[in-house]
Amino acid sequence: MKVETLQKLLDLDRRWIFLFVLIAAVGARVFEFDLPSHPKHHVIVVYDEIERLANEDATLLLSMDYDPSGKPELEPMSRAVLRHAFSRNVKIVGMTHNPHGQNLGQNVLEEVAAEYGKQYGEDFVYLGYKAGFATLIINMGQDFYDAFPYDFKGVDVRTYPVTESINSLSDFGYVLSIASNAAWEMWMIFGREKYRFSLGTGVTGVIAPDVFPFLQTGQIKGLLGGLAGAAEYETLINKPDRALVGMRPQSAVHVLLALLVIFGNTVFFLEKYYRRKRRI
Amino acid sequence: MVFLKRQLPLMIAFIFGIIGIVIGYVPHQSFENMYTELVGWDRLLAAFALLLGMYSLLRMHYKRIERKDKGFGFSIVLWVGFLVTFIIGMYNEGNGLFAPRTSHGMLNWIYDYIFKPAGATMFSVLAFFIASAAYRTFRARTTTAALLLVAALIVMVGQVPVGDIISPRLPELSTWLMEIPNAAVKRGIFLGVALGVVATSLRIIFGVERAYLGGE
Repeated sequence: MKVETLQKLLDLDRRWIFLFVLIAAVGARVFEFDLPSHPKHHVIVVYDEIERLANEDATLLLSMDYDPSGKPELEPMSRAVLRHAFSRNVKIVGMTHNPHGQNLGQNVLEEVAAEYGKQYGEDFVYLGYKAGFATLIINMGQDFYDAFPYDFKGVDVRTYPVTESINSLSDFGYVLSIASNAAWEMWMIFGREKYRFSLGTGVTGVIAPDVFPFLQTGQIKGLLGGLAGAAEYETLINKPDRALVGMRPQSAVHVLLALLVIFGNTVFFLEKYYRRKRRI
Repeated sequence: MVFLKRQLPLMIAFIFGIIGIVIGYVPHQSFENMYTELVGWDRLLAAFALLLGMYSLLRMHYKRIERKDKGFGFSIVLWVGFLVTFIIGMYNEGNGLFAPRTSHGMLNWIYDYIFKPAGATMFSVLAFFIASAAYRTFRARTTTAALLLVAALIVMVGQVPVGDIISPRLPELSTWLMEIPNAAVKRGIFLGVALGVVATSLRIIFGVERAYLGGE
């Protein structure tokens, strides 16, 4: 094989790679096929925590800390967890630490609540966004009403049955931060460590490796990692939706990436081999 | 002026830095009250930081337009986008500045049909660039690079359901890589970062590190 040909393959125009990715993603979306989904241990922990809330009649604080760029990966997570919580009559308080995520949280909460016939104020409340990040979390732990006197509609939070028994973060049965940024870490450092509540997280696939040390120490109870985590949760609640559908293109692109890397390395070594041979 | 620009900020950083440390170690109600008060101040400052960020961004793009720098058209788009969103946001469907934001209306339209698709597009474009970069740069040039490459391939395929079809061992191996070697390394990095944060904080508190005051 000619060294020049191999060199050409190594310098393959990136537009070809873009085309391969497009074909893999669109092809896997158009042609339906089933993929197995086996929930991992840390996904089952989140499920069990929601079940515990249902049994203890406790409230879930769902912090949807993502913006539109994280939506495709994280909204299926929020949707699946909300479906599970509403189906088990768990009361929910929603909020966000992301100024660009206020509408996302509100929309998904209202949509899923409508599916289950849940009433605003009775079954769920949405607080919206407030500046502060770490200090907002501390403030919520010190005095919940001081941090959020009003919800996103401007109504006094004390008037809602769902928040009437909440005075501090420690009054929540479980706090789940679904985040495309460092919000999960802030919840852990400034919230969980001081106010001792059960904290879980759902993060993008890129962030998930950062969470593992804290799963082992028990500081984080349950992890949904990327779209795969959302798909596993959909499997657990037996409500296949966008995440499971999304696993098809994601699997196809992952396999394509692996093949590209293997192919690239094979060509790389062949090129080295023939170049050396030519010199001899 | 030197006092306002240099000494006063250094004094504030020193006093509040020391208070911040002491509060963490003194379990007394008066310190807890002080902590509550400071948290309130911090939230107020965070809100001002948003305003400051907005001002800096707009100023920078205004300068670009003024100088007609390369790509200044994008700065015009930013300014137009800001003004349209700002005016519509302030108008608040006729309810005005101080009423709670309406759930549906022009601002929501902008969010749902411009901001959301644009954000999602930015993120999805990443897949194409990552594929191209992986093909070009992911080479087993050394033993370490080869190890990294094999681990990456296992995790890449093992984390998606198709890994289970190839071999049920693949997801197990992927989970092991994430839970054991990855966690060990991450823990080391986190400890290093934490120590670095402590060192930098002490340098700021004692006035050794002054970069935050801005250069002159």
